[in-house]
Amino acid sequence: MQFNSYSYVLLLIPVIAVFWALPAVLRRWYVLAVSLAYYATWSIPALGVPVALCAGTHAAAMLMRSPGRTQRWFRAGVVWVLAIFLVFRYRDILKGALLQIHADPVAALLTLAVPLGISFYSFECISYLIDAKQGRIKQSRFSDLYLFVMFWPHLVAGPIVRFRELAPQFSFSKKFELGMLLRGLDRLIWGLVQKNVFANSLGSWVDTAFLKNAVHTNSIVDDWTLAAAFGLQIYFDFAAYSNMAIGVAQLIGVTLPENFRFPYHALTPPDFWSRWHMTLSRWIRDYLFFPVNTRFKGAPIPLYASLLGVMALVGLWHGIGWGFVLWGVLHGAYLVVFRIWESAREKRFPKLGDSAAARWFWRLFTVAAVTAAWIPFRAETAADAVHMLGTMFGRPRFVISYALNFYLLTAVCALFCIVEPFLCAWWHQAEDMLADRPLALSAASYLLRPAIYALGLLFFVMFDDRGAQFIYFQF
Amino acid sequence: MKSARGPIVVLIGVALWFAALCAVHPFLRVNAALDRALGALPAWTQVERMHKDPATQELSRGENPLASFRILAQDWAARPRVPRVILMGNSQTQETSLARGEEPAAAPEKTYTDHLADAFRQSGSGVFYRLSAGALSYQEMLWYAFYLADHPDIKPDALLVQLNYQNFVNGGIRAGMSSLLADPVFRARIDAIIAANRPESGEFAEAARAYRSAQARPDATVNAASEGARQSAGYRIETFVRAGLEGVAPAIHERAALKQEFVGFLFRCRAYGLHMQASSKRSLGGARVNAARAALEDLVELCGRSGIRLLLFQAPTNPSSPLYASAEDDRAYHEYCAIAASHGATLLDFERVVPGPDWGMSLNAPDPLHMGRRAHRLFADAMWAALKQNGL
Repeated sequence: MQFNSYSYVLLLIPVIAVFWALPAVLRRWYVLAVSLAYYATWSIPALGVPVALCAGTHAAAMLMRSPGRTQRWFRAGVVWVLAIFLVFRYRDILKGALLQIHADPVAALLTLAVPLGISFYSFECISYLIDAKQGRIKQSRFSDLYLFVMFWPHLVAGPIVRFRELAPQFSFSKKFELGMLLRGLDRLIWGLVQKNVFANSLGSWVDTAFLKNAVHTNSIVDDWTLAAAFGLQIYFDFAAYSNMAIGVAQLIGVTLPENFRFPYHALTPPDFWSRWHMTLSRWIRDYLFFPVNTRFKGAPIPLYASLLGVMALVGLWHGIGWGFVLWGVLHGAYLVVFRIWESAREKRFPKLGDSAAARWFWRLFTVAAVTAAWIPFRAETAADAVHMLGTMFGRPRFVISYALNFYLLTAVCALFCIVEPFLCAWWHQAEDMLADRPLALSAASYLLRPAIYALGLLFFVMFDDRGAQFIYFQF
Repeated sequence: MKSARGPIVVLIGVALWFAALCAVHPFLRVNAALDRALGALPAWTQVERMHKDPATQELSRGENPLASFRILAQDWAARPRVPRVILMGNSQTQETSLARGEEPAAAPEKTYTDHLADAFRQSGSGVFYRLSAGALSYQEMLWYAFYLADHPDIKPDALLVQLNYQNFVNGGIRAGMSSLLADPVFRARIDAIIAANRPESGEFAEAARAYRSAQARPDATVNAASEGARQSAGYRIETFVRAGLEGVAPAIHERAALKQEFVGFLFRCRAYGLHMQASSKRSLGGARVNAARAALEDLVELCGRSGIRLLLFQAPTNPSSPLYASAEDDRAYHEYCAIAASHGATLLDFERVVPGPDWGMSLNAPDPLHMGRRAHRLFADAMWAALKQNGL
């Protein structure tokens, strides 16, 4: 059941109503049951995968408490999670290899579908093991771990949460407040609009324009627009999912971490990664990048190599494919270039770094570099990506190949991205202003907000396309 | 219970506002107000009540051609040994935009293709069928031509193909047309073209992919997770909910119309705000044009191979609203037409057949594509005469 399906949106009403009607002590079991039921709407057999992952993770975490055996059981737990993750995530490659060595019966087992959200909850299980090893998780029940992994709003595509930020909220002891419901609805409905109106509209153009033969005759204007259009599509698509996840969790009083913070407003490449898929960046930084770098004590060459390596892994997390790796490596290269600049600036041009020109340079560089990197991520083949990048940087031919509406739509979406932070700030300001005016607050809550929600839902229905999937569901 | 009151009021508020928005059709009203204020011709000049006849027209406009072809096959089976003529073109063939001074008619409006169908019927010299859709691309015409060539029951003796400046910037195969892949013969043909890496292979492959995913219609991801998703509980629940809502919720039922009104609003923003009209001049160049040229040349070649007589005709253009950005673009367009015809097709020129005052308006600018009632009659007469001259 997709987040932007009619059935999901309609079923949320009784699900949330029953949640608040139940005594607090029963709510965790109710949420667990709903989460299981939600996953089962995709595939009942696939439920076994998160159950197996949690069982292995929990057992390893328990056994890690035995003195002198922490490291051994930690490794066993991580191997267990990674083995399941890798088998399912890269099953096609594995299947091919097994068939080559005539291990057909084993290969046949791999015809099972990739369990939805496996990339996300595998990372959560690993973070659980690391936190348990480092003593940040003292005691937990299996049901806590299971609820942490299976909590339905973030189950399929994140945000990637940490046990210690979610588990304390599983007492579900918050009292109901109308404000909480309204904030949840704000995010949910905005997510529905982002997905159906912006992401899907851009997607239909992007899919056509990235076709195998089309890209070889595109002009420089076409390819830059196309890269921007895909960058905007994937942003709206994933931000929509995150907004819906955060919104639905909010409806039952759970706060999930933010996943996007206006990424195209980033000032530098590192700033981009503090705004884009923030929970993955945080995971990579805390559990991979920092541990690797503390060994090298910040020496430049290992630092640059680890930046490139870690970002290549981020690319690989999206799937096996040279395009994802190249995308990751490009981002790694941007980070390295910025690091080199930073260290050179500190030593040689301390004043230049603060100048408006330098700030604008990095801002434009970041947007352009991030946009160009979407090409290998999305292109069908390596040849297509190389050709498109060649056109973008070396073949100036200023004609447009597609209908004017494609360029206009991309421009409108880009414009929206530019004004989005200001709109959000204005929305919060208006909320704060109303807070101490009860009459105006009531009017806003009971009249204006429902009108805005209704308009959002109208757009959600108008642009409904049942076949359109969330891009990140495939990762 | 006190705490439940707030959410219930909000929920009822949302439902009431939603119902009100659906009932009011806000964008329709805004569009009408904008048109009035900015001097567009009244909405009735864009005629909605057009003549319909499934025996001479593909009525789904590319959304469900298989059903139309079944009707055509039955109709033509009843009239064996009569020359069969099919005309392919864009919305110019199926719409009327009344010119200044033309009044709404009581009877459904006919386009030049309907007049031609009447002429064929009355003279007994053949059967005529219009296979058109708005913004029909040359890849789509080629797609249709492959299907026709493989199906003797609807294969024409002569094919009339509209050449139009705008057609060269259209591309792709619409989802409805990909439904033709349900036919195994056609599917095999398309698979062979995809494998042959022809200029149109990319578009055809995309159409095939879209068709397959529409068949699977998973309520799951596009990757392997979608396997067997049609049997998933989520898919079945969604299907059930949608079926239920179609019956009770007007917005669900009318979502296409509501979206169309909103798109109309955006178009007005573009036209009135940015002065980018349907009549704005444009250049011929880039990926789409190359693909269109290649598809057109392949179409000529296919007809030659399949024994279908091909007549390309340069459609009338509005002298008050030429679309080419430069004389070079105009020359290029005529060159492409001539090159395509030189592969073995007849080229008919109707570009200057319809004078300026007989064309309609697109908002407050001359319509570069859609003609008025007199214009359709005039063009039909000119084409009929040309067809007779060419032995049809």
